Amino acid sequence: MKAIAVLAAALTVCISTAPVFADESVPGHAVLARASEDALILWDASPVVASIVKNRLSDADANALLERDASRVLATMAPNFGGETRSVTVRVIYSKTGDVSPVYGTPTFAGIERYATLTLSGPDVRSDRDRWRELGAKMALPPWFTFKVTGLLPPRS
Amino acid sequence: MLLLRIIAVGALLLAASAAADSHAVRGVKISVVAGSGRSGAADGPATTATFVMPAALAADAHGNLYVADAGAQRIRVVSPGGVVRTLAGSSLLQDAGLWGTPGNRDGPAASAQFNTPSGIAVGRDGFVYVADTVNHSIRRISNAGVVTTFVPALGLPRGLAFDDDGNLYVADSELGLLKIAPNGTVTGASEPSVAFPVLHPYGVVIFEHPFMIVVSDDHGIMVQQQDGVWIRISSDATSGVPVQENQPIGQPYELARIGPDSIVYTDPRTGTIRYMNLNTRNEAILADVAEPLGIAALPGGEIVFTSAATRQVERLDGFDARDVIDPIFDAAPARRGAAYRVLEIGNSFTWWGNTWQDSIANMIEHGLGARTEVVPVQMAGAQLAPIISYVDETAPLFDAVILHVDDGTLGDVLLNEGPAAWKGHMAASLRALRDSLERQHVLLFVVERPMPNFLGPTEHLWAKIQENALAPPDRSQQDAWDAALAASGVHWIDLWSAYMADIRSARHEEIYSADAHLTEHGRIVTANAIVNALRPLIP
Repeated sequence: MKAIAVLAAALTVCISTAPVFADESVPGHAVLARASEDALILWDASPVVASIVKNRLSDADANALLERDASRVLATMAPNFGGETRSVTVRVIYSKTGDVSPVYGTPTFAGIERYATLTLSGPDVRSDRDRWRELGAKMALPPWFTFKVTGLLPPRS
Repeated sequence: MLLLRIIAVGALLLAASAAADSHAVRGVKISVVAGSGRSGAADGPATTATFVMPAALAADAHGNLYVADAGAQRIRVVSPGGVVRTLAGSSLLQDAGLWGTPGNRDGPAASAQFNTPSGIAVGRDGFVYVADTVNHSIRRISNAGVVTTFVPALGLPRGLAFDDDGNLYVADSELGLLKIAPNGTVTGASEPSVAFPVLHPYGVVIFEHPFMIVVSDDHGIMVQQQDGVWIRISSDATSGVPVQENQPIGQPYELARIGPDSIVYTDPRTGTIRYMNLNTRNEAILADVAEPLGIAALPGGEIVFTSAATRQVERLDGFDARDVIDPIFDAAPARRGAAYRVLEIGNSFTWWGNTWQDSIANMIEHGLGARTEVVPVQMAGAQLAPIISYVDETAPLFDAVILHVDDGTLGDVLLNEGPAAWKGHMAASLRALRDSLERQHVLLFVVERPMPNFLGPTEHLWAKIQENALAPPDRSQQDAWDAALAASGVHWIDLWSAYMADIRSARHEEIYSADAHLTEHGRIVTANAIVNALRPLIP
């Protein structure tokens, strides 16, 4: 999916009324897990998924939202990438809840869902690294992200 | 079990983060702010000033600390420069300074009298408001030093907190949560639901953005969310049974707001200072303290508290909320720059009721050497499948994973079906995890911990069994774990041997506490066994 199209879709979702790329804190926690040639960023998108469930977004709108925020995560991490970077992947995960514990009275942890990956090739990383903030401010993200869904979202009914 | 907590604020449908309970936090230091430790009401330099029972604390914007001394029947103030003076109260000290004579008199501060003041807050008007508990009233001390009774005829007022509109919230352990308007009009604060009444509240804090009322009571902590709905945060939300010692959140007493969504609180029953993020429900024991009562956060974020045992005002430094581990990402950063990062993941048996200092993680870290950082991720009762998914996803952040397993890891269903039902499944799951981690160059080390009932319901009973040459406890479940681990091909140890060796030795102390969690000695035995087995495996 091309990011431009995704952005358009994301805007229709209107979760954020005035998105500011990379200057806004990205919901959820993100960490650069591996800064080697094939860099890996783990992004816990649980708060975003929670909002998706709460607002009963369709899969398409949900994916648009997650892709947009994943790209913001990528931009936030951009200063960590060196010239040796061949690719950067943002792994989009969220935590799942299970039954309510009779002991603790709260939902139990039911595992982590690896929902999607957003990948950018090395040349693109390097060529756009210095421009991401500017591009983001204009909501004109580079169009060559690869956003691949690998898991499932929670039911929204 | 590893608890995925529902977001407290906003009641979202999905948990926002995987949170566990009562984490240990490293690097916390305690120092004395004021009080020599002797009983009395002497003013003067902080190091020589004395208190009887400093019970409640409040800070103003200038860094002054106001102390309600429930024993000396006085209100004291500690200046930022470290000088203590009496703001109000004129009791005579009895029994060599061990108790002040109570009274109830308004007027100039030097002649005013109180009876067990145990709550305090500073109003927008600069007046100091006091919960004069046994006089059943709210008193206030004007900037001119005159004490008046602001609201009489309450129950047993304790914790106080103002909102931005100048309303005073009172945790009245007899009448419930009260709201007092600036003109003194008293109403019940927004009523909690019938299902979760506030029972005997002690402490209260107010958050403004979004607005929340947080109350401690007999049953733990209650939060009134922005939508007005009350929710209860405690380990026994469904049972309604008062929280017990060492339950995950302890027995909260006085509360203080820290940051936009977190509190710190005292727990005099377990002798701890604790932290809780109200959104993620991440919790931590920050320090062991004898009889902590009052607590406040200074404008700079420092935490100060009172100890009835030491008769001092003390300060807690070095707490960083990032050290309260979120099972997903707070665990991740190599913030301390360690060369070798170890994820230690286990259920409540690995962390129950301990501070960082006496945690298994800290002991392992010291045992493995300075270049190692052990990151404990503490999952209460988590079962193997979710744990595996967690470990698999976070593996790139670590060099090794210590995974504690026991019967709790199986879950009730598998456990009830017996070893035949789960042995092969466990072996296959662990083998798959090992393979996955190996591909990521991460070492997997599994620690099999015998349940207490395999040693005997208590070790005393186990000793009795030994003394009377009775049959040892059934080991079939344990043997099944051994077989599953051996078949999985992972690196592992069985703590049974270490525990038994300790039980049979002269140095033996109880490994399990009465609530069936590890004692400090049990944690030492456990950590030593892990270090000895793990050290040869790491570079």
